[in-house]
Amino acid sequence: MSGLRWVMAGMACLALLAPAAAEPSQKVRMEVMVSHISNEPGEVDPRADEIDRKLRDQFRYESLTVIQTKTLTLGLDEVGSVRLPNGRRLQVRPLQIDDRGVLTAVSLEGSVDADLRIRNGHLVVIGAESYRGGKLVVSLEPHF
Amino acid sequence: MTLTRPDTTEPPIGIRDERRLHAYHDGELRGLALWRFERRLARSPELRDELQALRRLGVLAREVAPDAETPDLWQDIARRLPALDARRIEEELRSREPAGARLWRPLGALVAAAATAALVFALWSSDNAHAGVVRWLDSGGRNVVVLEDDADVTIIWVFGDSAGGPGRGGGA
Repeated sequence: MSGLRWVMAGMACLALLAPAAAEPSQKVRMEVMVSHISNEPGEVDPRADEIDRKLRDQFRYESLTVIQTKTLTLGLDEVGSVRLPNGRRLQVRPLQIDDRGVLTAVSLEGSVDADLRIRNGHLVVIGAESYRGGKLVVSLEPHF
Repeated sequence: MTLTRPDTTEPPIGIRDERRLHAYHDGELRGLALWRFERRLARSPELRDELQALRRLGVLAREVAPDAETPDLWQDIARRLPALDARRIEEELRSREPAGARLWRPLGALVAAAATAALVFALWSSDNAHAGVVRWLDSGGRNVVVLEDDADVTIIWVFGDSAGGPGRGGGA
């Protein structure tokens, strides 16, 4: 094959690959944990040890129970949803990723809306919903 | 010699296919991705049915309420506004000169924008390098504490029960 043909073949390959590369490929793996803290005597779920360590200094409670955990794998602008035990929804939507973290729209239905810029592996703990004499605690940890 | 025909059975539709189907339906696929998907579409009657269903749904929606408002669309736009503000603020904070007068103009614009919401407060640091995790928050009028002392954890604590809910409409 002559040099010119090689060049043309290379350009054709690039032309074919370029549109595929333009497709959104950034994914965020969002670890979601829904827990319940209460003043009722009880134990701390070992799965929520890290959350307990962070909350214990700030708030008073006797027990911490993990109700559900879920991993949402989301592309940019994709909405992930988790149904909370009180019937409301948690919705998470990654909007932008850069070296400062993932800009994420978070909504706890009827309770709190927020835009958060979360670094990789940074834990965000949201206590918002009253539930069974205690409080529902939602934690988010993105990995990308 | 026995010749065996290659297995031409198409794999079942997966999440990836569904996403591509929606992108194809919305005219977002280009180039190689478009070519690949059309080839897949030609082989998969199941995908073609899905595409037909999507098209029927679009037609039906337009026929049922041609003049109706589209609150979902507006909610979607409204939800993005704070995020756009947050992005703009970040850009401005990054590009501004230290302790200059330029700082106050974008901050003033932010305050004005935030004041239009029911109860919105945006948190940002005057430090260029660290602007915090919470960029915008609406708790529907309830008291909120944001603890960002720990480098690894941010705690957002909302006190009391919601009266009317936040202003973004309950969706992310």
